[in-house]
Amino acid sequence: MSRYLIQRLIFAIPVLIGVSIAVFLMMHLIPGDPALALLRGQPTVTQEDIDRVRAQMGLDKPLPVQYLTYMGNVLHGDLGESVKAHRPVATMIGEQVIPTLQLTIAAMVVAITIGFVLGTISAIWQGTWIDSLATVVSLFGVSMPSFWLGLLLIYVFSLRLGWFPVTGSGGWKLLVLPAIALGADFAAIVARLVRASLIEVLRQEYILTARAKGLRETTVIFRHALRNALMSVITIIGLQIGTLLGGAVVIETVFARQGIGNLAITGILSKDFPLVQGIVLLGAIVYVVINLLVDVSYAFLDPRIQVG
Amino acid sequence: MNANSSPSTALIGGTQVTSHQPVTAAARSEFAKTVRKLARNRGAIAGMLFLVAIVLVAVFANTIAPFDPLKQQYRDVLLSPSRTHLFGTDQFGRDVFSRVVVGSRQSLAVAALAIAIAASIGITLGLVGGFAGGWLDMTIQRLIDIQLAFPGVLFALAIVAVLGPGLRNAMIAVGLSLVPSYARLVRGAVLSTKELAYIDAARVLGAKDSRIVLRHILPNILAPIVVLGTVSVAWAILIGSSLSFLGLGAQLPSPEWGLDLASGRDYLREAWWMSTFPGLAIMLTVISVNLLGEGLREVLDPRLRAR
Repeated sequence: MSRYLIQRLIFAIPVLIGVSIAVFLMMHLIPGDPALALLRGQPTVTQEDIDRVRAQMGLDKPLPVQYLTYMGNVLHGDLGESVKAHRPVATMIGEQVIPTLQLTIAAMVVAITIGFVLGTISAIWQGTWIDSLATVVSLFGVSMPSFWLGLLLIYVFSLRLGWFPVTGSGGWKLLVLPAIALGADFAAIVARLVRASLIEVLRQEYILTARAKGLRETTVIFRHALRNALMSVITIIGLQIGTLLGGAVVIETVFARQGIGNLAITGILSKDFPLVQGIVLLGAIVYVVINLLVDVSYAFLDPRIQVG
Repeated sequence: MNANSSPSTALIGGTQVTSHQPVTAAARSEFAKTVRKLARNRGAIAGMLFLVAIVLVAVFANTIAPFDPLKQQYRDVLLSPSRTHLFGTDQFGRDVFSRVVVGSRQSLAVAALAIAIAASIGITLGLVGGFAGGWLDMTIQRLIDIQLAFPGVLFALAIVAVLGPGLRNAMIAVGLSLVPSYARLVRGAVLSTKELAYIDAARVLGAKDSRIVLRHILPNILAPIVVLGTVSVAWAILIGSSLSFLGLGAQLPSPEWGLDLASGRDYLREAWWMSTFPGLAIMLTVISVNLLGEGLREVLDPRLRAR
C-alpha cells in the first residue's frame, strides 16, 4: 500500500512541474511582445514604458532564469499582480474560492443524489417504460448545454414560480438552481453507472442468497447491491471534479455569481494575463491533487488495488 | 481476435474502394452487414436523419432563412413567435428563426474544424508514439499527461486567453483540447495491433515503417476512431457554444447559437423565445450526435459486441 502511494506521488511531481512550465510559457506564447500587450490601451506608449514593464516583469533576463524566479514566487504564494486591478493575484483568487467551492460541492451532492435515485429506479424496473424514461432523462442530461439548462431553471423557478431568488442574498436558496444546472451532466453519468453496476450485481449469487434468506427487497438493494455500485462511482468522481470546476466558469456567468470562473472570464476579456495565469495554474494544481486523493482513497477502499 | 473478420476491416473494405487493394466480396458483405445492423438501431437512424437535416439547413441557410439575420427592424422589437416570425424577434427586431438557421453554420463549422484539428494531430501523435515506442512515445505521453492536468474547459480557456477571443481561436482551442483523447485511443489500438502476425508478415515482405503504419495499422483501428470522432462532435459543439456564450468565441453581431443564447439571457423575462430556440438547436444537435455515436459504438466496437 505505501509503495503504491509513493509511486502515485512520484508520478504527480513531474506532471506538476510540467504544468508550471506550460503556464509560465503561456505568457511568452502570446503573439507579440508581452510588455506591449500589457501596455495596450494606454494612449501613448514610449520605449521607456516598454523597458520599464520589461524590467518589472523580468523579461530582460534569460528564459530559464525567468522561470526559476516565477516558480520561486509561486512557491512563496506570490502569483504576481493583476495588471488591471493592481492587486496581488493570490489575494484576488483567495476571495473567490469559497463561492466556487460551495457551488462545486453542491453540484456534486445534487448529481450523486439524482444519479443514484435515477440509476436505482431503472435497474430495479429494468426493461420497463420506467427504465426507458430514465434513459431518456439521462440522455437529455448529457446533451443539454448547462448554460441553457441554467436559463430555463431561472425562467421557470425564479421568474415564473418565484421559488428561488435569481441574485442577491438568499443563502442556500441561491445555490439550488446553479447546483442543478452544473450537476445535471454528472447526474446522468452517475445514473448510467449505477444502473449498469446494479444490474450486474443483482445477478450475483450472494444477492440470491440474501433474497432466499427472506430479506426484504429494499434491504437487498440498499444493504447489499448499492454498496458495490458506490465503488464504480468513486472512480469517476476524480475526473468529474475537473469537469465541474470547468463547468463552474459557465454557470457562474449564467447566474451572475461571484467566483473563480467569473474572475477568469473577466481576466481573459480584459487581457489581465497574470490573473488568468494564476487561475489556470491553481486550477491544474487543485485538479492533480484531488485526483491523487481520489486514487489514494480508492486504494484504501479496495484492497485488490496493488502496485501495478 | 481474428483481425480480418473484425467489423473495422469490413468498414474499410467497403469504403476504401479507390485504393489499389481489390475489395473482396466478403469484405463488401461484412460492410453491408454493419450497415444493416446500424439501420436496426432506431435511435441511431433518428440521430443520423436529424444531423443530415441540420447539415442541409447549414448549407442552404441563406435560402431557408426568410429574413436577413443581421437586419435590424426597430418596429418589430421583441415580437413573440408568430406566422411571420416563427421563433419571434430579438431586441433589435432581428428574426430569431433566421438567426438560428444561419447560426447553424458557425456552430457546425466550429465542431467540424475542431475535430479536424484534434484528429489530425491526435492520430499522428498516437500512431508515431505507439509504433515507435521508446523515448519518443515517453515524451508524447508525458506531454499529454500535462495537458490532461488542466481540468475540463480550463485548457480551452487558457488557449483562448493566449490567442485572444474569436471564432477561429475558439475552434483551435476546442480542437487542441480534444487531442489527448485521439492520441490515447490510437496509441492503445496501435499497441494491440502492432504485435499481430500480419504486421510481421508485412515487415518480412520488406514493407517500410510508414507503409506498415498507414496501410496496415491505421485501416484496422479506424472503427474506434470513427466512434470517437462522432462522440467528440457532441463535446465540440457544447464547448464551442459555451465559449461563444462566454463571449470568447463568435462575436456579435454574427448569429451563433451560444452567442444568441447569451443575448437572450438579458431578455429572459420579456422574451423567452430568444434563448429557447438557440438552446433547443444545440440540444437537439447534441442528442442526435450522441444517439448516432452510441449506435455506431454498438455496431463497430468488437468489445461491446462480444458481450
